[in-house]
Amino acid sequence: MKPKIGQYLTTTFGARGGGERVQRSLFKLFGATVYTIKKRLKGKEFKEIGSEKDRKIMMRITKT
Amino acid sequence: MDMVWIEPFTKDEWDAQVKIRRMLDIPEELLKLDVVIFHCPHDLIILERLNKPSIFYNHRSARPYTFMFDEIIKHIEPMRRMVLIKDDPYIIEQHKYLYSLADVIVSNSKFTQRIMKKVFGFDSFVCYPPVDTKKFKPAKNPARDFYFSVQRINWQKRVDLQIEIFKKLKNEKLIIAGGPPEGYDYNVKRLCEDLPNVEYVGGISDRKVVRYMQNAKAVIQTCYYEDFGLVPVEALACGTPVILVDEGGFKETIHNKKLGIRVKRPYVQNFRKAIKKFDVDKFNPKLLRKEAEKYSEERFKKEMKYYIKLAVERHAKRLQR
Repeated sequence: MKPKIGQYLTTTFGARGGGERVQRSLFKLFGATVYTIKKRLKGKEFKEIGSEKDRKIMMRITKT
Repeated sequence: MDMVWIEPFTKDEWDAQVKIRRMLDIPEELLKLDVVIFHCPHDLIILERLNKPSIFYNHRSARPYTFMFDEIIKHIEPMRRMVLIKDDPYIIEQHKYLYSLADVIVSNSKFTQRIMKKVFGFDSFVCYPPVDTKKFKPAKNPARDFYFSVQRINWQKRVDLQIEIFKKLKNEKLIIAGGPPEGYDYNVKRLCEDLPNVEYVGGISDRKVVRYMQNAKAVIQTCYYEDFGLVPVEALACGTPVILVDEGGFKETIHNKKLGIRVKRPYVQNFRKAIKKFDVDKFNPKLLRKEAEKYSEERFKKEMKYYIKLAVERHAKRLQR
């Protein structure tokens, strides 16, 4: 059976250039959704998860 | 503009990054997965509580703390600069702990693999990032009448160096793309204003990037110790040679003179010499394309499949211990 693969990135605020493209490729080739608490990047590849409390916690290290 | 904490971190900043991640709940979505892939070292901390096979994809190792430290701190505000330590043993140890939580470490180049081993003592596999060779493909009748560079606009990409090089090459046109400017201490647009042969087109769509790449004489890259460097490989896929700095991951991808020119220091003088002598007809687009195909998505998929399987096996062994 095919293993279910996912990616975890607490915040995509730091994801840029090559890293972002690898994440998108992993989604395209393996269906590996990028699960993230705080999202900056757009696209179906990135899914915001976690509670509002988690998002508030992440805001302490990621300012907008 | 988005603002993020910029590495290198102090001990307190590092601890805050880890502490905050420890406070997060384990997302249900992750519990349903068979394998989790990580990209940021701090995120590995969740593996203390999440019992899943894992892969850490190492995009850049610890350059802000080690060999790039002296260059990076020039771009950090003076007050913060004072509290940062090069090769901080605390930060190195913390990295080691985080990496020990992953079942498999995959580096994006031999260059980052070497740093991973040298600084942290961890072995890793190399799996080069993929290039979409269906999207990046050669044009039928390329114009070949300008040079092109594309990158994020930040100091590490040294776009100012490109502008300086072309300042005295009045007969050669350079088109610079990329954006948005982040944390840059000068304005690229303003630097190009008085130069009729240098044009900054800002952030553009992938389609336009492909068109520029297909029609350029060569793609220019000046990044400071690029870890891998996808842009040169994308240029090769378009049948376009590259002229770039002889540093970092570029040494692996542009490994011979048939693919492009690797320029040594001092860059301004040597780039100008290389561009003056450059003859695009000496490069065979079919050969460039063939080289880029080695970095295809199919190859990436095949290699990653192996590492996914390995992560599952290693995790099972870890549980037995």
